[in-house]
Amino acid sequence: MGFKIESSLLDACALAILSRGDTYGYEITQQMKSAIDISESTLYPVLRRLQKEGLCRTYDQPHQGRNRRYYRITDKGQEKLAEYRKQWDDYKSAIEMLLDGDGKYALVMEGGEKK
Amino acid sequence: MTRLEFIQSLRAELRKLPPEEIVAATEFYEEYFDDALEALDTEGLTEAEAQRLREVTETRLAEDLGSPKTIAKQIRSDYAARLLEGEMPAGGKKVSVGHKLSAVWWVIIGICSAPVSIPIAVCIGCVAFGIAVSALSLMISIYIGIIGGAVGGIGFIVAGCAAIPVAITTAVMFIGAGLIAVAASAAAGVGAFIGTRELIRWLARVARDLNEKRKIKKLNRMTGGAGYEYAK
Repeated sequence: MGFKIESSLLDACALAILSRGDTYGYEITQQMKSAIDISESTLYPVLRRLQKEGLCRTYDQPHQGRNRRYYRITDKGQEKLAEYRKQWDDYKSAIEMLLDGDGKYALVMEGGEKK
Repeated sequence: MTRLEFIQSLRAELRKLPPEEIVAATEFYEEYFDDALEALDTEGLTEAEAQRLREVTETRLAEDLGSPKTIAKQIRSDYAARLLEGEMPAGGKKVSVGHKLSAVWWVIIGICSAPVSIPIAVCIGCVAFGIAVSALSLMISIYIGIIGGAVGGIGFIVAGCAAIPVAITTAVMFIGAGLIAVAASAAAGVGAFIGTRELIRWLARVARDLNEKRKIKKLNRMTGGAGYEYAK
């Protein structure tokens, strides 16, 4: 992908994955990688940051003779995710307006200015 | 790079962070390897083949993850950023707030103590300047002394030569004393030259060390201890 992904966008993506259910590091990395072009090592700092900000928390569960660390989104994380979704919608429509090819948004904007 | 090398290298790169951070990062990546291996499809493979596949995969995973140095750098700067934002570090006290407070206190103390501390600073500066000047004078006088010795020696030799037709024994004594003085001056000159060179080297080293320490201190103040890493 040609666009650089900024860290708050990564936070939002990770929170969205967690909002669908508790999961573990490798699985989150794979899900992220299936959608966007990120390196395998991008996710640890993201999860650590979310955890430190209280947006998610971890718990260990025994799995095949070892512990697996699961990540669960917190209420604060849910709120933050809702906020991110709202911001993303605004951002998306703003960019769409700028990138718009057939100029239908441009008319709206001109009309707005005449008032 | 093997899995073991990756983890060891990562741990080494993070050694300046609190143990909690090191454990969290290494555990995450250990688990990452475990989970990635588990996701492998080993159906229909013999145990030896499966083992071989796991080893190859581990190395490939480590390679895909990239350099532990880069990963560690990211973790360290994230940690430093959290500290700067005033997050609770492992110790439980707000480091950056404490640092800000102490900085304010230092300014206040600095202002209040100005009537006393400025004259004291001036005095210390003057004394240091005096010591430096006298050390330099001492060095110059040693060199002048050596040159004087050599010149005097040459003078004795010349006088001795001049005295040969008059009194041969006195002449020989004069020439001998002159030679001794010239030789002693030459030896002292070599010694003084080596001494000066070593002194200059030592001063340069001390100055560099002080500068380095100041840089590290400044970074540590900014990151609450994690700054040491960046000085390298």
